[in-house]
Amino acid sequence: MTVLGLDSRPAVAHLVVRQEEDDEYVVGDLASGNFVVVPEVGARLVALLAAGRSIAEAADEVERETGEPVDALDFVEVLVEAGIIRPQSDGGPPPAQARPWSVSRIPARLVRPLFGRVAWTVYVGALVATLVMFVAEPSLLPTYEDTFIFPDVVLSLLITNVTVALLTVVHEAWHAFAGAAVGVRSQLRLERRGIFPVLETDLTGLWALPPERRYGPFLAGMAIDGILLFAAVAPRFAWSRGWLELPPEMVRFLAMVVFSQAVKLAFQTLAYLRTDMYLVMATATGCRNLHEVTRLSLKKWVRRLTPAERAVLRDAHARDLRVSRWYRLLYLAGVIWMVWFAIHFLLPGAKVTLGWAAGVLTGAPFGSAYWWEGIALAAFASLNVLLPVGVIVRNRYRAGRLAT
Amino acid sequence: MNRRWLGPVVSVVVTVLSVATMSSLGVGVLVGLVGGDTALPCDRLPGTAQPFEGNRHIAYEGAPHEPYRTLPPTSGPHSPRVVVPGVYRDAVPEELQVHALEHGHVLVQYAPDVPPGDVEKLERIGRRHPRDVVVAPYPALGHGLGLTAWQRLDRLDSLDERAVEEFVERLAGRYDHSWQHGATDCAAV
Repeated sequence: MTVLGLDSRPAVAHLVVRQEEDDEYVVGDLASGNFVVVPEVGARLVALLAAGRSIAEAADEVERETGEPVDALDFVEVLVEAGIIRPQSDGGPPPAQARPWSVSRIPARLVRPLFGRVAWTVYVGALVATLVMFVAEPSLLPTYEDTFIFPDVVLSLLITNVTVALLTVVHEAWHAFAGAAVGVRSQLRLERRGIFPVLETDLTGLWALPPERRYGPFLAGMAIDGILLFAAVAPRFAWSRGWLELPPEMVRFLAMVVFSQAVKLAFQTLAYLRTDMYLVMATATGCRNLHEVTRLSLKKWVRRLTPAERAVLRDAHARDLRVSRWYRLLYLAGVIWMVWFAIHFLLPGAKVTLGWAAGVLTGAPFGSAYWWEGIALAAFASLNVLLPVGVIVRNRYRAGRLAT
Repeated sequence: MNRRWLGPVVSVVVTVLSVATMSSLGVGVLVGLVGGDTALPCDRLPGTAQPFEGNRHIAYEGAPHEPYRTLPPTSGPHSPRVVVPGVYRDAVPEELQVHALEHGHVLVQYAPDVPPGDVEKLERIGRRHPRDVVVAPYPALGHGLGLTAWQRLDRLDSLDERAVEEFVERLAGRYDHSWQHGATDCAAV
């Protein structure tokens, strides 16, 4: 409950205030990742409150400067509702918020060297060296067969999925580290992008920083993916040339890691799925809500928009509208490609795996190791299809709860 | 610093990467559809053609099926499990050998009487063709080397590196669940 009055002196010293345009300022709390866009008079109020003025004193000061009365108490309540400042004048308990990922709470000085000039040179160098090795030895390029590191399918699935999950967490951890290096905490969550389930590090707080400081955290996941890819390709390259001896099982394990990392990097280039490259592009073009504006501008051609959706389009920034004119072509192509991918690869893959499982379950002795292999295969194929559906159901349930 | 160029440049790069990623899978499918009849004629293939023994999946390894007519097998009922190309130090079950052949791979297998130095040379051939060859011991051979591709077999008494290389290069990928690029089983030759 908000217990603010005109005599309150809310704690605002931790807020970041950055001018976005002539009469547009971003006010935010890097620790919570919450921010709002306010006019110049709002930024001035925050500056006065930070200097120790009460709400009434700040309002009087702004009125003296501009000649216009302002409702400073209402403005402060907006900041409280946005989760940017605490509701009580004595700086009481913070509003309930999702807890930041513990990885993102690491001190900035410990992770800053991972995102300095030398580090980025290493990241880019590793990627270039990997591309050179692929050109020199095309057999190192990944294929789907690389996921079968053992003839035992369940063991292969287990090792492959555990490794991919761990490498995905490393990707997300690098986003979180890069965020922590610029003072932004983040949250880790399971989401979906189209038909693909994804882990996602929420770095919303970055939008309170100048654009040039956002690129590092956005690209950090791909940077560590590139290093891991290099670490898997280089030994195989040396092995294929006879420069290095490796156990055959290790060669196959590394091939699986190459497959996983290459797919992950390729996925990040699919900008229309709001991947890391989308965030880089949205930042470089100065957009605020490009994806949603584009989605709604296409949706209105085929379905009636809700009042809230119409408001998003009505209030869209001119730059979002301008960029969405060509971005919608990429978005549309992406949606068509996803349908094609599902029909050509995802569903046939699930069909083959489920058919395989059905054959084993009906043919193998009940309860034998092979029978359990059939169960594991059926569970795996179902998970691939059902996980994105589960995320949709969860999000709708949460949205419904918020609405009530 | 004025960076107005950054937005358009990044937009172009990201769009190109997106389109390249999306089209890479499509290009693979199209190449498969339009690939011409480039397979080698039967008289230029090493080894001997073998009759078709079927290609059905058995429910599990060890499930009963018709016996294979050749040693090592070159087609027939096989395990749904997959053995990928590479170097193996343990024998590959016959039902898995056939599945590898069905995927267009070549098997280079050796009997216990092949000297360790020759095994090392075979494994080096495997390294040079990491997408095409399974190199593995196969005690059931009894003697020498067994080279197999789908419906193709060659036996060598001792290591002939050139013959092994030729077998791999001319037969890998000739069959992959069906005959590729105009190839045939050569069984009538």
